[in-house]
Amino acid sequence: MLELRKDLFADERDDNLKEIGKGTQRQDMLGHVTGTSPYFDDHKLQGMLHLKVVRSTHSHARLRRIDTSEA
Amino acid sequence: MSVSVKTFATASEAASALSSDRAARYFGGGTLLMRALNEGDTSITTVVRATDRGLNRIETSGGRIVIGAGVTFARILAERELPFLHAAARSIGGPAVRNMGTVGGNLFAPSPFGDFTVALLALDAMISTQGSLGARDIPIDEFLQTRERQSGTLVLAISCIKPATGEAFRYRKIARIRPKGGSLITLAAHLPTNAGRVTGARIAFGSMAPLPIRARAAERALEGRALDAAAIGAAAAVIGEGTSPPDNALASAWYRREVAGVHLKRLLAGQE
Amino acid sequence: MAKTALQFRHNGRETATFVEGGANLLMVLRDQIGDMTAKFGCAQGGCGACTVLIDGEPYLACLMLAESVEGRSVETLDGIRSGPNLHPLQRAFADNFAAQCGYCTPGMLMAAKALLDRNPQPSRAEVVEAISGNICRCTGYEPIINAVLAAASGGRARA
Repeated sequence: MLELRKDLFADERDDNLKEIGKGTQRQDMLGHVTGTSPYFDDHKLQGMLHLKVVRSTHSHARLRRIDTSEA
Repeated sequence: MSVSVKTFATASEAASALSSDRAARYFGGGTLLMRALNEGDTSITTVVRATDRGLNRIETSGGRIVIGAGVTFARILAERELPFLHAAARSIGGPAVRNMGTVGGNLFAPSPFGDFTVALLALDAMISTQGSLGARDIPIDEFLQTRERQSGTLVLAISCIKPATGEAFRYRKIARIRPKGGSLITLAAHLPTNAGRVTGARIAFGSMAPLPIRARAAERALEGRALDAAAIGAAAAVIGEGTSPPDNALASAWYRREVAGVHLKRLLAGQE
Repeated sequence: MAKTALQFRHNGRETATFVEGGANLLMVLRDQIGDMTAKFGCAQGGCGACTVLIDGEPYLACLMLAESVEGRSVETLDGIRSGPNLHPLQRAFADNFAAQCGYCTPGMLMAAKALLDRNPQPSRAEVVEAISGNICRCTGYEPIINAVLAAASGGRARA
């Protein structure tokens, strides 16, 4: 017998299982149309480090040395 | 890494600044240059701009059209006297890119871009430039072949043929994301006729070689003939001559060779 | 590092800042002004996620030299509402399932706003042309097109 943990989802939906037939918006829709949904890049933190990936231009090459002087 | 931005009131001052500094680049609409700066191109240390209004002029009253190098594609689309260039202008980017990209800048756009340049190649364009050797008018074929060495030269304006009729100039861009995006193949043809026969046709291709090129064998196949199914078939049969299409994410070289003739036939037959 | 003073109207507000030579407008809006509504998608001009309106016309902020907006009006999604209520386009997008992950949405809304401000009753083809510079990986575009048409016809939602 499945246990329906209503307490865990109380704030997310009307839990009487009568969603069918009701027009519903996505939970995150308001954030999307206002541009306020927080994507990863939207978080600016103090002391952030930035990285850039540098890829080899040769496939199957052996890496002999990495010159980090410019970096 | 920051660059120095220098803005000049006249095109000639900008041209001097450009030709005297190997690490300087001209800022037209920004669609090519900003992309390079965003990607961290360290060979550029100075950006040169000009507010000279001569770079934005359009002259349609003479025998040839003159378009300032700074004219954007949005402006071409708004120009009622240039309907034959609308299809080419509309095939570039979306509305935002068309507000930014310039006719002069498109001459430098690498394959699979540069579709407006294909249209200009079919329209026998002349490129007015100002470089370290002074002012020069260069035929577009020659300009394209030397364009790697032209970044120190300022393009001032482009002149081109004004087709006699709507039918005389045709343009077609085949792309996966329509109407914009990188071109699978771009075709433009100027087909002047005399007593119903094609004379002096110019057919240009994009994405069939590292640069936009003319389809000279196809042009010769049409010379002196009426634009009927037989002539079109003859042109399509030789369309591959002189081409070296790229293999890229949009299509393979094989595919491009296979479909070039099909699209040429549709272009010449006036099909959708 | 040479810095240039820049003054412009950001969503109607007079704004001043200093920009590095060669800085693009998207970086300035996000990192310096703190307006995160314009999104970073490709930095190449291909995706349209950074679409903003400059003097009412759509431009790609990632390819705009920041100093070229001196004295001009820059509108981002942050400024689309003129009061507490959503703009009709925002409401139409919400009602017509026109966003899933939502990343293209700011760019789509700005492109749509540029269209409706100039052409309040666009045809379907005109809507398609207006958003032709904006890529969406989620919705398949149809809900977005429907939403713009719904906003144009007075915000009546369609199924």
